Amino acid sequence: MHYHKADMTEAIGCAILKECFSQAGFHIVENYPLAEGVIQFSVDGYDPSAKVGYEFVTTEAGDRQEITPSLIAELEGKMKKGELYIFLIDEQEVASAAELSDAAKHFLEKVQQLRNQEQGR
Amino acid sequence: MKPFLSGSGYVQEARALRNQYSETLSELDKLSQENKQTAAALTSRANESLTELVAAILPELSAAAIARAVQLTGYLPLQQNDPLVAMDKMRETLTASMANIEQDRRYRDRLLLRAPRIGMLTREIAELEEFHAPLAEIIEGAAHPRMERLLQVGYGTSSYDVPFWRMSYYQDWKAGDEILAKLPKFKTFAALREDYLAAQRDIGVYNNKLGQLRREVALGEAIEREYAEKQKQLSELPMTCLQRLRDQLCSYIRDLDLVAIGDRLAQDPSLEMLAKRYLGLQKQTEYLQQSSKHLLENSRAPVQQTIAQLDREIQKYSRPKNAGAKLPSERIAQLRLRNTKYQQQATRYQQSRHVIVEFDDYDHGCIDDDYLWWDLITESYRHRHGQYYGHMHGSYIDEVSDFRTRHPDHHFQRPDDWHDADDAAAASAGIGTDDSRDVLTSHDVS
Repeated sequence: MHYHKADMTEAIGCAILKECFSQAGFHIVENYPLAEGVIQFSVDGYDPSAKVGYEFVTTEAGDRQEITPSLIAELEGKMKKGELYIFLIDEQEVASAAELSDAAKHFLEKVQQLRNQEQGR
Repeated sequence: MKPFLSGSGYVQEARALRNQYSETLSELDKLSQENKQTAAALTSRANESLTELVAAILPELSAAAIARAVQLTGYLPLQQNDPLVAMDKMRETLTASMANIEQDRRYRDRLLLRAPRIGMLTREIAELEEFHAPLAEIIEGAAHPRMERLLQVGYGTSSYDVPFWRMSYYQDWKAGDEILAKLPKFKTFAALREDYLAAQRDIGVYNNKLGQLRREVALGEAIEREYAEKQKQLSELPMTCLQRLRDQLCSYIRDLDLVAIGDRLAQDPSLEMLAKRYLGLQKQTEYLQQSSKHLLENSRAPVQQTIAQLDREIQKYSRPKNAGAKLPSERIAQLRLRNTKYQQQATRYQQSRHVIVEFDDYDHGCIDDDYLWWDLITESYRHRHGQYYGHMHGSYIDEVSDFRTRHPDHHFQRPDDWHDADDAAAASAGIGTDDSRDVLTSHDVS
């Protein structure tokens, strides 16, 4: 599939991400209601058992009201501790489907490395 | 044709007639277009002959030549503001200006400063360009829409803190790789970053200095060009001044009735010959324009009106209710006759044009008020071809008509050297050598 930046809607972006995450072995639940302490929001795609997912931030889906800077700060705090990993993509940063797909694969490789390190400890 | 036509019969006749009128209109348009080109060519030849005449009237720039030109033409302004004094003044100004430039170091030391390879400025620029080139290579190689951001976020350094779960992390990575691919001598972005920032800082200094040196060179070259231009003006000064006077004379003679100075020009046979040629070409242009006006242009409007009228009538009598109408056929006959006349006029124009344009027997002309060039032009054609076209009276030309009114008994006096040839040609053509103008030949003018 070939997408241009203007075509990259929430639905298309999420479809690409779900495909990448699923191929990596994750069981993605769409629009998962994440509730981790103060973190309360619907994640575009999330594997609750692996605690790995993605959030494609678009204006179209009203994400900019829901995903506030303080929520991101909380999320990043948890990610730094390795408690969960959510790939954060702003629609304005994506130029093409290939770029999004490549980035997702690299993200998943990083996650795999970190999880391996955690298991090794 | 029957005296009356039915509605449908009238429509049939009117359609045929309309086609004939359309053909006439097309022919008129085509001839008008050709006439414009022919008239332009004649005007151009007249201008050339005027230039030659004026060059003969004022062959050089000297007091005697100017005085002679004034005497020949009566154009006094030629001597006002003494052109020779004015030329000397211009020469002094140019010479002084060139002397000033010669004193200017930028001109005087032009080789020392700007000679290829060895000039001081040339060498300095070459050296700076050598230093500038590797810096420019880095700046140009690192040109990327994300380069500024990479520098800002400290990409490639320990201060880079964009986490891997953000999309921008991967975009930074991709941009960094793309930039390094263009500059393979850098192994890491950190190394490139260091050289890039240094290049960005230093290239500004080089650019400023190079810009300054190049401006200095450009200014020096401009002074050289100015000097060369003045040198050229100085060397061409006599010719330029002479040309300026000739241009004035041209304007004067163009607006003048050449007949007014005909006697004076006739004093010099070579001048007289050139003047006759110029006058003859003027007459040819004038006759051609009047032929076009009277034989082509004046026919256009009535032909167009008739076409419009016929269109209306065709529409009207095509209606079923007019099928049984009885219409006089006389009108169709009248219109057909009129169209034939328009076509004949177009043919007359072509004949006139042919005779006018072919004429080049200027020597037999005369620069005189009471001389009709039309006669010479048409008689010259007869002399050459041994025959007339029909209807070459040219009465539609104002000058011809006036002349014939003033001289009802005038007969063109053929030049002596024409008689023998005319007699022989007339005998072979089977026509008399009198001035009868009723002989109509079918000479092809296409």
